[in-house]
Amino acid sequence: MTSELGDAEDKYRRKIDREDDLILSSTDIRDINDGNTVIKNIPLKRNPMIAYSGMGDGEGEGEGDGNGDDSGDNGEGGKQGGKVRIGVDKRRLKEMMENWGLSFSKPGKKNKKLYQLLTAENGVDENQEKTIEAMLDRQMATGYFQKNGFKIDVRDEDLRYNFIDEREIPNLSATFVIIRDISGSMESYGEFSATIAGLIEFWLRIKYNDTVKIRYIAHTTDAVEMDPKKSQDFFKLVSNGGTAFQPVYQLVLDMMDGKPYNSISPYKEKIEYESEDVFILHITDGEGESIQNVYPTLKQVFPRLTKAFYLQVGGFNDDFYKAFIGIGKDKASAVKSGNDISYGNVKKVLDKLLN
Amino acid sequence: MAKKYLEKLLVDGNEINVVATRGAIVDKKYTTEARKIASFMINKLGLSFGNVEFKILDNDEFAENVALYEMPLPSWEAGQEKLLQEDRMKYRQGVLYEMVGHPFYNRLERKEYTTVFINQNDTYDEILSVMAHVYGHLHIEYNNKLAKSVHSNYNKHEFYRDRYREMEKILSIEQLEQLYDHAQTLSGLMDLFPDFHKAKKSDYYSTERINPNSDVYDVYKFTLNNVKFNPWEKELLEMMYDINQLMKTARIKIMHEGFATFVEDKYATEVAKTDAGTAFKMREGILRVADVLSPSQLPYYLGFRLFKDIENRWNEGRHGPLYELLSEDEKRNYIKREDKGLFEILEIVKSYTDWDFIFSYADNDFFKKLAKEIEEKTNKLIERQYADSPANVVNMVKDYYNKKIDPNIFRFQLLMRTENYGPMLYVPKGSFNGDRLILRQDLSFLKRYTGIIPEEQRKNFEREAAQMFGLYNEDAGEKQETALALNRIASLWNIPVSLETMNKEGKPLTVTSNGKKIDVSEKGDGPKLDD
Repeated sequence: MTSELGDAEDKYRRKIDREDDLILSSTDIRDINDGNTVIKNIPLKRNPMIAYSGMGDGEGEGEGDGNGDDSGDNGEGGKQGGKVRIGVDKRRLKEMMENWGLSFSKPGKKNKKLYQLLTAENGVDENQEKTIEAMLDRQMATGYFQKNGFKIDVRDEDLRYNFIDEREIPNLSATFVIIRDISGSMESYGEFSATIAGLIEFWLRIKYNDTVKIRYIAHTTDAVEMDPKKSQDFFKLVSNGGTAFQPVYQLVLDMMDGKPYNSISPYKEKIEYESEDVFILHITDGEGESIQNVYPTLKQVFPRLTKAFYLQVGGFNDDFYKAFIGIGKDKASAVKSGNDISYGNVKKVLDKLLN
Repeated sequence: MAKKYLEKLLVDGNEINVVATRGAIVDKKYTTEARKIASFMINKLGLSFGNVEFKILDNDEFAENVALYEMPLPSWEAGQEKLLQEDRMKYRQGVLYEMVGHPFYNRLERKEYTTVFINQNDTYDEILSVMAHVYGHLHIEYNNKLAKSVHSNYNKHEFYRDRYREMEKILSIEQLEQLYDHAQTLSGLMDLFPDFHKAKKSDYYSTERINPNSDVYDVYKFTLNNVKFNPWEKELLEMMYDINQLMKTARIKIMHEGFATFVEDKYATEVAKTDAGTAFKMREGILRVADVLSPSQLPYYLGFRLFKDIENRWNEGRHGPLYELLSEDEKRNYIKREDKGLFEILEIVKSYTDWDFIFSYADNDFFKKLAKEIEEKTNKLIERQYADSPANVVNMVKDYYNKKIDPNIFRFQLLMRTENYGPMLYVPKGSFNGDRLILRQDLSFLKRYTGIIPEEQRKNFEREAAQMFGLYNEDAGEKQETALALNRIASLWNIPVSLETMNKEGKPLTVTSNGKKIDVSEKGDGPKLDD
């Protein structure tokens, strides 16, 4: 049966995206990053009507399954009852993020396309065998062959070409360093930070075909690398210390240089900044001690990065924010946000960070 | 095809064809069964219907057909419906077993067929049972006065879909869907009750040039005629108007489902004579839908019980004015074999709507029996399931049993639970001058249905009616719904729209929207209560 409904389902999906009905928590995003499909319940949407109270759902979904289970779904009064289960997987999340205007195209410089060309001049060549076949077919069909016998007479409509074989160079890999301020003032921003970090991680995974290494750095006045296998704990970390930025970027520098550094992760690895793309996400409230100290280190780090994201949650001090943009220039993208985990805000933050 | 096993099916002297198909192929097994059942329905019960094609479909196709039937345009709503149905079938929750589709014209055979969709994942017994059930629906579609008078041009639906897609290409989807949503809101204000309006005398119509020159009940049409729309807007609204004509059939919901379950039950009785196992499974299926009192199953439950009751009463002659004169004791022992039950039911089905049906046949005795039944089931299934929702049907019946609510109000409540359409609103004669639209609520049908209410009951009745029929009361999210709907209508008209209704005390209440804001005042005329 041909699909009479066409893309009605897509329209519905677009509508729930537009109206922010589909809310993904950080746990969902982690599951999607692991390759699972997350099932979300969306309440049924109905157009409002002027109606009496206590109206039935009147939809005609009569015959239940006998266990009475349908009552939970059909609900009392019916109008608000009912749910649609929507599965969200990698493909769908990618679609959604593309709808937000985020692009997944690869960085231009290092990902050239390789065209396997068969003739140097035109970019295409005629496939002689197929062309002759086509010519013969035509001659047979028109009766030309019967009259004149075999004769090479290639016309425009007989020409057959080879396909262009288009290949991409295998992808580069990337390292994504998530730096999180775990001082006491950051406690309430865990979920929000995890959501944004998860979505950026997802974005990178798609971009680099899953060859992304994630590194976690937690810092107060000291910085330490955390175990990447325990990512869910990372966003729950809280400490009493103050905040300083210099040790963080010193740690990143040491990781890149292969020097010994402070770590409780069992996997110690050098960040190969020369052969890989390196991304950094720094989440903090921007309230740090002696910010001047960090400038020289930042100036050393930035040339080695592909892109640096800075997410300032809460906080009133913009000094580091300004320094980050000032030194990073094109490579830095920074955003200030409240602790609002609503879809609109998440979209806004990502929009600013990734574009 | 070898027709050896097929006897002729004659309805009103014409031969009809019944066939079951899977894709493009005729399914012989189910065709034979379907014809057997049809023969029973026609010859034993006296039902009548036209040519039928049972289409046995898989989940995906079935969901799509349901969605297309309910929302013929390829909008977001249809997409939602399809996903919802698919979901229900996947988890077997609140599954639809069958759906009667639109008639279609078979060009090869030059006959009109009614399509019936059946889910192939049902068991064999279920499908037989469902087929029997469907013949009940078909009989009503074929015979009922109201069902016959509802004309949506379903042949045009395909054309509408194409037009909708063309519009989508030219305009943006968002723009189109916005108007679609507005039209859906407006569709509740079509004139769904043409038989409710009292015939007007000739002097009622004004000779002066006023707008409108009589009360206009079809607010949708009034909107189409009086608002200046773009051509595409007008086209879409007209399309939606045509499609939403189908909503009118909601008014025979209880009879539809009740009668279908009734004949299904009759067929199970017939099967029991030869095949007790199958009959048992069929009965189980019937009890499943007609024994548990959940809101979505109310039409089945109520209709089935009521038809059963009518059958018994008319078979035993316990009806009519002479019977009513007897005392309680005499009534209990009264039996006069008439066997007119089935005849009476077929007569009811021909010309009644749910309102007439409930008000003429569901009397106090019937409700008492119902309440008793529910009382017996207390603490079993029902109590646990619906304990946490105060406004449910079980509580309604209990309240009625404990004499907390008026019997007429109880009937109205039951009707409203099963029907899915808005109230009767109209634009009063001469009220429209271009800067404000007034929608007034019409409650004059109350008196027509309840008859004269004794003085001592009247106050109680009026209080309860005000709670029930007020359109801007606090509870059940209704206030918000009304406000949203009014905002939409006002933004469509681009002028303030007032709704004249009443509050919980029965005092007039006027709710005005300018498209964004709601303004409530206690002035105004309130709803119309007299003819």
